[in-house]
Amino acid sequence: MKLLLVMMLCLGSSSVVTAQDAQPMTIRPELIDSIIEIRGQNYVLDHADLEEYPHGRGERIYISSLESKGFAEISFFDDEDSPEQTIAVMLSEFESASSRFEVLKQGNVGNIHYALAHFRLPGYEGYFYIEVAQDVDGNVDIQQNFYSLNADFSEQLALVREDVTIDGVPFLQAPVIDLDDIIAEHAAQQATLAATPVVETYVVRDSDVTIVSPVRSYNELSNDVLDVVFFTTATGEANGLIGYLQDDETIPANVIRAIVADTRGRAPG
Amino acid sequence: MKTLSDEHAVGLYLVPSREGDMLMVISASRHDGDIWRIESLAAPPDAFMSEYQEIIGHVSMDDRPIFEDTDIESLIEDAEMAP
Repeated sequence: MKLLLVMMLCLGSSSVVTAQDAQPMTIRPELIDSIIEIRGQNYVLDHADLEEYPHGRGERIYISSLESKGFAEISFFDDEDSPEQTIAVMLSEFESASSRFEVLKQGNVGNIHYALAHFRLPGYEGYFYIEVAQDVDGNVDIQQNFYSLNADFSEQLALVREDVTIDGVPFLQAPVIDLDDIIAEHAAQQATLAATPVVETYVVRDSDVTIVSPVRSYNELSNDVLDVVFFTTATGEANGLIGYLQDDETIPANVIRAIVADTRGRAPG
Repeated sequence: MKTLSDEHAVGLYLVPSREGDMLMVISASRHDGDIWRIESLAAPPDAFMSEYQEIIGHVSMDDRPIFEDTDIESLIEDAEMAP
């Protein structure tokens, strides 16, 4: 889990692997008779772990972009977890490390189970795709996942496919769903949402106050004499209020003088 | 300070703050009896008009936009002309 968070935080930052790591590499997993080859042009081995679980083992191979633009994982599990359980655990890990997380599509085609999710971290948004195929060699399941920032996902997935093969077959060679279509649809929805004004409404005494983005409210104050909503502009440079004041003063200028009396304000000019 | 009517006045002030003077406009108009509708905006003087343009049209009460009956631009011009 900590590793996932660290790697997610590395998205788009300086690389966690160095150019010195950029060399072809062959990995022979212990749990399965396969050969993983990494060309090292854009993606390189980050590290591998052999994990022991109560009901089996997991061998996890982490592969990183030299530019920290994408992260891939190839794992083998000989435990009793179903593909659905494996995906649920991985999605849960990702969700825990994200500030917002949405599964866009999940299901299976034949024995390939998959999920595509969108995640958000402060300052970053990206996509996470996972596939699990059950019993590819005896009891061993294979899991492949990849994540990258929104704008980089398709390009980086293409690069990692060029660089990484499993028994000669490119990494995530043939996702069982059309990732580009789903991502394009999701991106269009996000753009529509971003363009939709956020309307905040308040009831102040007997009135309705409406504040529409990019102006945002940040506080309300209600007491015996004052009912106001405070707001700030998008830049944060300006702030203001709107609402009602109860004052038995009969001259409006005197109402204002009373308001500013404590602010040490002075008339300009 | 400008009195627009027996029921409505608007004042323009410079308010010192840690970040420097803030230009603040306050409008008070009678709503009902001793209840006054209060509207206020404060911003750095050089950013005031652009910030003001942003809030009008985005803040309203009972479908009346903020500062609807207040000519802020002329108020500022009057203040700049003042000796």
